[in-house]
Amino acid sequence: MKMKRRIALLLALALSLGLTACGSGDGSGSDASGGSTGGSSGSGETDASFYEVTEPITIEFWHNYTNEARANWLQSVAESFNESQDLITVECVYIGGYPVIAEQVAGALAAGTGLPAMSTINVPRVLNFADSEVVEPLDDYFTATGTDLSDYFDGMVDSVSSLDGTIYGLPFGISSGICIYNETVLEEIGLPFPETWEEFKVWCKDVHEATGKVAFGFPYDFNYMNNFFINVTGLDPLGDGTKSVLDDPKIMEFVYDMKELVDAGYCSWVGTSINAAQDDQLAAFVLGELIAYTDTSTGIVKAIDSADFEVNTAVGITGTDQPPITTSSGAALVIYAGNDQAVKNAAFQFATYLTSAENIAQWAVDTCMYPVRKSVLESGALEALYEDYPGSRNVFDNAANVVAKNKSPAMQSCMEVVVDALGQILKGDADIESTWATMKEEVDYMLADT
Amino acid sequence: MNTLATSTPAPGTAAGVPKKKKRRRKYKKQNFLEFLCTVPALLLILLLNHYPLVELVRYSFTDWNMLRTDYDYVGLTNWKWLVTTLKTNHVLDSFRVTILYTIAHLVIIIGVGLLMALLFNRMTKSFAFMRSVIFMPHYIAMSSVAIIFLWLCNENYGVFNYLLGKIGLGPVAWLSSPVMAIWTITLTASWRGVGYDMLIFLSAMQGISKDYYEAAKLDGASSVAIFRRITLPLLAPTTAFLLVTQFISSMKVYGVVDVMTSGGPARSTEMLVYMLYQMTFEDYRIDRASVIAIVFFIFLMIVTALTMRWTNRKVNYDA
Repeated sequence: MKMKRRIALLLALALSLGLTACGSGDGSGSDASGGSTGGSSGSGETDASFYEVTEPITIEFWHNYTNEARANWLQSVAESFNESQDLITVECVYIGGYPVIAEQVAGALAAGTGLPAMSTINVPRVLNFADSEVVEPLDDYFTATGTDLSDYFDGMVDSVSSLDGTIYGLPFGISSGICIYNETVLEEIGLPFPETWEEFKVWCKDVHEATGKVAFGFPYDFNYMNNFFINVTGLDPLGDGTKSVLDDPKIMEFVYDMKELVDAGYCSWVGTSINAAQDDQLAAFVLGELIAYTDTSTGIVKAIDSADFEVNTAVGITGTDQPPITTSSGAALVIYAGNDQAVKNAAFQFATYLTSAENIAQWAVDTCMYPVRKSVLESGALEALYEDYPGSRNVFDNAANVVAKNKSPAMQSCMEVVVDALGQILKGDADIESTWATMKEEVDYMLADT
Repeated sequence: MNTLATSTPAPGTAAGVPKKKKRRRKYKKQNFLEFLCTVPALLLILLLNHYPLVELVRYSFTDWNMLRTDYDYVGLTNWKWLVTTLKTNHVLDSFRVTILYTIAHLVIIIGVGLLMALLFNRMTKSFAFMRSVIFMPHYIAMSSVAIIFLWLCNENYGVFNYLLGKIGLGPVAWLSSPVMAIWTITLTASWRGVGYDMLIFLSAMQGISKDYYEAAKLDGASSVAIFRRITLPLLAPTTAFLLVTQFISSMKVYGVVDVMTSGGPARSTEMLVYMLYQMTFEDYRIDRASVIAIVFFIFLMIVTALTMRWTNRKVNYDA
């Protein structure tokens, strides 16, 4: 009996130790405080010396580029940066895709150690991170270092800025949704890619009748469908970010139109998830089964490299009197707030170096990602890219029309719910009105819940 | 350990009393030392299994989002959220899908595994080779299996639809139909898992005494009767083991969903663990995910306990 009691006592002691350890977490597991304010004086002036790097330092840059060419390019830029000055050494580390980077960052924050100096992260996550003060507001850094922000495209900078205009990242690997089409077939049948939604509906029917193929592929993807909603209806489906406008008659009309086009076989709804949609659409396009589809702007490279016909692009299809816009996707560079000021300063220097006009021009040529600086577009540095991938010219010429997505922290989750409902309607036989109403209720709840 | 092997003096003898006390003390000391040996393992289990569980409970009473370093205790807010938004938060949908997958998966892997074990219960080289072929998928990582099936099941260019087309059957929307996707995932996971069950059943069958079969044959019992009256009851402990362990692992399915459907289309394959992951790392709502995880944990514990209780009563472990 005594032995049992001792064992029980030991167990209870061990458990209580665990509980004590839990209890000691007072909610301030790390001393990381979001956002440095040390560089601003009370009068609002910025002390430039606060943002200088004065001692040798090594920083880690986490990125998501598994593609060898992209990873090698980043490595070579880091090396040239390391050689260009004596104090900062940048180490590039491939961590995994965006979700893995986000996981690792969350883990580092919880552990209070292991946070990188900076990383790439997908654009919608920048505001999530900013909302939780994980990433550093950069306005003071720009002021202190005299960085000329006017050379960056406004919409791209806006996509990494909060509602009050605070900038939390630097646009870098920006891409956006575009339309990719089989120019050879369209020229043969004399049906150029349409510009307006009304033209599009007729065009889909005509192309299908002329070729027997599916004219256009709508993907299971919140990014690209978001663009369609905005361009065709002139409305952001998530409204002002607090209440959606998904029940607006224009949006309902668009959904009914899409249903009609898919049911008639003129268009298709592709995939079960983003990746599956992209792979399936590209395969169908290359095999000539799909005449046009919407994909990421970097998808031009794969499409042109894989197809044995001429490929061209369009930014989008508008349903209003406005030219089509496309919302900013891809990656931004963020600097983590939980680090020492010296680390953050070093990271900022590397971030600006990485996005210098010269580097951005090379990055755009090598990866077909947007040149985020206006001067690059005007410099003629992209001619080589235009020659290899002619469709990229249409896309990059529209760089000024790349705009930020809805700034609600729940944007991505909400749009995924919208796309799920759209999938049920277009692919299955779900009742439009009730499915849409249930979805709207859920989306409004999610928007209000953040 | 060899205390019991020493000679025992007659109780009540003058020499026996102090010896008995001494022996008991020695026995206790021995027990305590043995217990001490388990302490490192015990501490590790406490640290790695039970401590996270305690933390999970704590998170469920906070508004922590994993990104912030500070948080507040919000009482039962997250628990209220689970109950009050049951109609819209998709937890019940996920639970329903998970249960459906688990039942179908268990039926297939245990049923087919048993049939295969019966079929391959021959100790020859050719059967050993065939058994290893059946078991082979179990060596492949689930994510690799999922990627292979992703392409096999491709609606437009997959092998399955190509073969169906060859026999005049229309293409099947294996993954893009909300109705079909769950079955495709179940079959994919089962294809990988069935070999393992077969092997476990086979080893159990090897342990059944031949005497039972010989006696039954002498009595003129048919093969079906032998299976029903001898094999099946004697395999009951193995079946119970597989049922419990694979029920738990099936309920926690993640990899195949992540690779093949990402929970889609239209959430039709959004299993609970996948939902928990999304909630934690995509929506940064570990506070709410904790609540769901705790309910899920309690559910698994109750079902496991009930199954164990039932099997303890019904299953004969003597053979």
